[in-house]
Amino acid sequence: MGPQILPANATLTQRLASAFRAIHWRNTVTMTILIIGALLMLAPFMWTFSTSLRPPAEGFRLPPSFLPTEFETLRDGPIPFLPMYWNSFLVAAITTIGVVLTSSMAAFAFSRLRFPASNLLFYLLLLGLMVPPALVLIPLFFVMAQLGLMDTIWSLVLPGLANPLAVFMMREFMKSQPREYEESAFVDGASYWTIFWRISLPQMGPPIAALSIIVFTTSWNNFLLPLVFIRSFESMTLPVGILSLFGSYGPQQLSVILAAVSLAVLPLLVVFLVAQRFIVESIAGTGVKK
Amino acid sequence: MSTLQLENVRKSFGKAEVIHGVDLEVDDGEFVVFVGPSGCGKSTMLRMIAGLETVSSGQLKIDGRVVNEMTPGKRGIAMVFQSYSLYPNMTVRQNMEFGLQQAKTPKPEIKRLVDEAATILKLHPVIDKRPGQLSGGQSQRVAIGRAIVRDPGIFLFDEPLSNLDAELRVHMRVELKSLHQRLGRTMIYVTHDQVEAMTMADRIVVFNDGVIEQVGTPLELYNAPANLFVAGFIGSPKINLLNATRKSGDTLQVPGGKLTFPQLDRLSEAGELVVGIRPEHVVVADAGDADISGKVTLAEQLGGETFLYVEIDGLENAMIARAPGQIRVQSGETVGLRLPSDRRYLFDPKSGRCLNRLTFD
Ligand SMILES: Nc1ncnc2c1ncn2[C@@H]1O[C@H](COP(=O)(O)OP(=O)(O)OP(=O)(O)O)[C@@H](O)[C@H]1O
Ligand SMILES: [Mg+2]
Repeated sequence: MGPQILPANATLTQRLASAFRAIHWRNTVTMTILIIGALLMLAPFMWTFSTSLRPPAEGFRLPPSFLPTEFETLRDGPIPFLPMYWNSFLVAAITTIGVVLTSSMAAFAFSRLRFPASNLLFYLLLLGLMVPPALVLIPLFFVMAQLGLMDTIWSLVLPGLANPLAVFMMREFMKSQPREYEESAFVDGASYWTIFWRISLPQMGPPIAALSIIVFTTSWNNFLLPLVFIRSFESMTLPVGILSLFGSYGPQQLSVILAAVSLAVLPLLVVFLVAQRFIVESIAGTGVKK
Repeated sequence: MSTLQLENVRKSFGKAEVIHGVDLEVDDGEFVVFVGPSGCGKSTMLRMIAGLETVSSGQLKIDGRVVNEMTPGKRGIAMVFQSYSLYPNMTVRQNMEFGLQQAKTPKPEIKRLVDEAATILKLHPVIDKRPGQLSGGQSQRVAIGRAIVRDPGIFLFDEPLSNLDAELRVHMRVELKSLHQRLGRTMIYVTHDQVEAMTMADRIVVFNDGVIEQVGTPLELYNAPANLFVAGFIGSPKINLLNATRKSGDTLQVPGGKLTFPQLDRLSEAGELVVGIRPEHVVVADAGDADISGKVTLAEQLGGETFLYVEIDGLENAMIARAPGQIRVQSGETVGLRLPSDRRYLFDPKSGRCLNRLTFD
């Protein structure tokens, strides 16, 4: 028996019964396995989060208590946690906006404009993907030193702004889209900038959402660059900052560190939740493409 | 108010040349239709005129000025695409405003022009909707509206009706034609539907494989096709073609009978020829009167007229005859067909050229 159509005034129990009947019990095994998998994935987070809520001494005690004291310890402690948090956010946000802008503009040029050696340029750009980041670290160090940007957040932002992978992703998306919108606008007398800004960019919502997640996460988690470029706490970002928390609190106060880790994960969740709505919508939308 | 001249225009994509030297003059206010089979270069030609493709060689002139290097926005043209390509993130009104904004038209003027176009095209009920919420016919209207608000010298249409259903297509055909009369602007219209071409065009340009086969008014093309290709392309159902062998004097042997052509020697000396006659000119006749005879394989009764598909000498569907009214014939029956001598075309099979000229009143 399948789910039946209920009258609009059905009671809650009727609705629940109907929903219950609609479950395909043959899938029970699959569901069980999936739920176990999901719990395994979540367990470290749950442990991290719940431990961070306990006083240091109770770090390993059961049953857990839910006293959010550690967040205060963190805020008032010797290491400026909140400014570091803000730095991390600034670096990730500026990098994300910058990468989205530069890569969508580059993608527009590579997929819509005809200019000499455009393919050659594009392949050169892709070559950049093959260079390991560690390799450019020392040249980058000298460039930043020359520019006087050492120990500022700009030494973390600028190297991330040109992102070959992002250009590649956006170009592939644009190539899969019809050119006729842009051509229409071109015939309508619009400038390249107007076409990009008013016609192309508004259509790039889904890939921009996906790109934002990737870039924001990568930037947020970046450890290597701040480790090398940043010395003072004023410009420090979270990954290196948490490491120094470890130095000053140590394993005895694990819960303080885990409180920091919990807080550090939070923005990624927010970004992901916001952006994934876009992605799901766009995937659902492609089926009814006109 | 615009004329258009093409002088030996060529287009290559990489090494492949797809337009092989096209010459054409379009007068101010003319409705010119480009027809031809798929892949013959109609869209490429139109896109060159629009400025969306570069011209590989030759000259493209609008109002006497060479515009080869001019960007589309400066050419005084508007284009309606097959897919409409309405900007998906803008409402109908914003779609129509867009071009005017680019031309820096003052705001009150933009509003007036858009409202005017919306009235002509009956778009007011949907003016605040987005393209995703429109029907095919409405989208088509918006695309046309977007073109007319800009008041271009030349309108370019690339198969604008091919995404519509048959009924709406006929309707929009009439609307477009009356729009042309009302605006008096030069229009160039691409289609591969020869009925659209015949009914809408002042002049038709028949393309084939990147060259122009013939240019003329619809009736010129129908009455005096320059060659086999044009004869086959204009007219529906297609013209009947019979392979003919010269016999003695003025007589030609064709499948199913003999035909005499007065003064055949003056037309051609070739031994092999092709005779063409349109289905509507074939006359069903008694055995005594008939030029050829064949077996009916299918009789389509449309009420007002009857189409007979006739097998001749074992050649299936060698000939289609359109007879007025309702003729009672069974398939399998033998019929006599008269091919009136003033309605027969003679073609040279090698060059494809039409050798004679018929007169229609
Ligand atoms: N961008 C391009 N690159 C390479 N070849 C192309 C390009 N655009 C068109 N062609 C080729 O040029 C020829 C003419 O194409 P075009 O689109 O003009 O044909 P068409 O007459 O409009 O056909 P249809 O009736 O199918 O629209 C075709 O052989 C096509 O493959
Ligand atoms: Mg085409």
